[in-house]
Formats: sequence, structure tokens, C-alpha cells
Amino acid sequence: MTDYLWDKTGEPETDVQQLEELLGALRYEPRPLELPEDIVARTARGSFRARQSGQWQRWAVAASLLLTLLAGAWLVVRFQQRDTHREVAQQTETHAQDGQTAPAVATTPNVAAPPNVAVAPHVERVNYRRPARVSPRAGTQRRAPAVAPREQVARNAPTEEALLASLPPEQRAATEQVLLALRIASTRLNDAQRLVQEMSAPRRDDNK
Amino acid sequence: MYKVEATGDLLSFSGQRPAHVAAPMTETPVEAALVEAVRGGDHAAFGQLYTLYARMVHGLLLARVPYGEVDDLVQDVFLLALRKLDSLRDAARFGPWLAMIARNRAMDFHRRRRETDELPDTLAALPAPRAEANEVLAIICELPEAYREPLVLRLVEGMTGPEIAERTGLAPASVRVNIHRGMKLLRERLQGGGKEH
Repeated sequence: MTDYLWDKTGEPETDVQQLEELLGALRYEPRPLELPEDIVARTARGSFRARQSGQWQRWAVAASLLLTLLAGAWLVVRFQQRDTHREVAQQTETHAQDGQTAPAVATTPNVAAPPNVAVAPHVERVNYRRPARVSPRAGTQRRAPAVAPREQVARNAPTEEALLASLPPEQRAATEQVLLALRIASTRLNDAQRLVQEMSAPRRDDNK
Repeated sequence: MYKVEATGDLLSFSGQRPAHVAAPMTETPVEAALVEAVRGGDHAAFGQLYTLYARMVHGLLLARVPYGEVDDLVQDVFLLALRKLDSLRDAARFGPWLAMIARNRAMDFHRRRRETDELPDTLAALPAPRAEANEVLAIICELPEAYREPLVLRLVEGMTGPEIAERTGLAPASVRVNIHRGMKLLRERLQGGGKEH
């Protein structure tokens, strides 16, 4: 179907043609666009920014490699720690079998243990049973849960400080340094990730 | 000051498909490549964008502001677009984005004009053929905005319907409807006003 008004195909409509001729006097006449110097300079900076964004990707790759290395180092230290704990636990069990007094309850992890007291993270824990409580109103006894709540179990788990306390001073210092380096690397990577997200965030208002 | 001249290269650049055929959505538009080139510091690419879109911007402004102001505003719109080009996320949507800048610039023009309380342009200042054309344009500008824009682009700037849709980012179907309804209204107004065309 031809439609002159729509796409100028087919038989021209007389009134439309006349209007085109008349209004053509107001048509756009090409003229050069004049660009001020500040805009030219700004556009040049824009290209520099594009180059910088490539550099930024290289930095991100380097940071991820560094993180991988640090994580590997941390795992090595962690394995060494586990071996140390195992040895200490074995010594504790040996002492107990020899008739020496062994700690009845695992040391509270939040409190630094004295150097001569062993902290064994895998020592079996006695399920703590809360003493029956007498309700002041009804006088009925409420039965305590048979299994310790999850929060309590988590609280009894050995913390970073307790684990570090069980290490020899030199190894502890090395471990602390590795952990500090990991924290710094993690923070940097988080910042980098946030920046990348901000750079690639959609700007809705601009593309209306 | 730098001057970007519109060159004949553009014709071969935009002449890859007939002007009245809208580009398929999968094809990477020429505009996107030009926008990326400008972002890379290529000012000639912006000259090509200017040549591609100056007619559209002229028409959009002509539908809103007096004829005598349009040329300067076209320059303003393109300078503004160049300044804000970094904020354009989808380079393929340069046309609709530029059209929005032009519409906003026209609104801004009227706001400032009210503030400064300038006198309106007089028709007597224009040559006779343009004065007559301006009278018809004034009638078009009294039509609803949805009809005004496509009619000016079609009748004044000589763009085809598909071209208008492609450049402004509007749906071809709605452009077509608006052109026909606008033309119908314009005929009624012209006949009612005693003008024979």
C-alpha cells in the first residue's frame, strides 16, 4: 500500500505537496558546528578515561592473583595450626590416662587460656543441661532442651584468638601477619568491586 | 574555536540502506559507532552525528520555538550533547537521547524568555515567503504536541515517516497515526481559517 504522506511513495497528494513546498522555506540549512576549545579538551580527557578503564581491569586481575596467593598461604598456616592442635590434644589425653587432672569442660574460648593449659578444639563437649526452673506462677517445672541450642554451640567453638593463643609465639606472629594481609586484601577487593558496580550502574535518566 | 564541517563521507556512511527503511533492531547502528568514536576523541565523528541529526533537532525545535531562534538553539543542543555524551549509556539510542535534549532545551528557552520578558518575534521581520510559511507553521504549532512534532519533521524538514521513527526512537505505528491525524486536523484548521492550499 502506497502512502505519500507516510513515506513519499505512490501518487502525491496535492495539498501535502503544496504544504511541503511552502514550509520548505523554513527547512534546515546546513551550517558548520562550532565547538569551543573547552569541549575539545574535555573530549580528549574522555579518551584518556577510556584508557584508564583498561588499566583498571589489569589492576583488578593483579589484585585477584594476590588474593589467591594470600589465601593459599592462609590455608597452609591453617593446616599447620590443625596439626599443632592435634598434638596438644593427644598430649592432653595421654596426661588424662596417666591419672592427671584433665580439664572437665572446654576452656571458654573468649578468655585467653593460660599458656600451660591446653585448648583442644575437638574435645568432646558435654551437653549442657539447664537446671529445671520452677515457674513462680503455676509451680510447674519446665523441661530443659536435651540438645544445647545452636547459638551456644557456636559460642563454644574455638575462636580465632583461642587458636592463636595455642600457637608458639613465632608462629602466632606469622599467622597474625597473614591474617592482617588477608583482611587488607579483602577490603581493597571489596572497594574495587563497589567501584566497578558504581561505574557499570545504569543511569536511567540519561537514556530517556 | 573549532569547526566541524559536514562532509560528503557521511552520505556514503548513512547510505547503506534506503532512507525510508527502518534499521532492524539487531543491526549495530552507525550512530553507536560514531558515538564511541567521539568518546575516543574523534571530533570528526561528532560532525557526522551533527549532519545526521541536525535536521531532526531543527524540526523538533521549530515545533516549539520561533523560527529566528532555532539555528542558535540547534548549536546549543549539539554542544550540550557533546558535553553530556559520557552520560549516554546506550550509544545506539543517541537519536532519542538527543531529541530529549532538544525538547528540554526548547522548554528551557521558554522558561528563560518568561523570566527576561522579551518581546516575541514579529512576522514582519521575515521575508514574504517565509512569513507565509511561518503562518502555517504557527497553525501547526497550535495542534497537540503529539501531532505537531511529526508534522513539522514531515512537512518542513522533508523527512519520511520511517525516518522520523528511526531518528526519534518512536514507534513507526504511532508516528504514522500521528502524522495522519495531525494532517487531518491541519486540513480542517487551514480550511476553517480561510487558507487554501
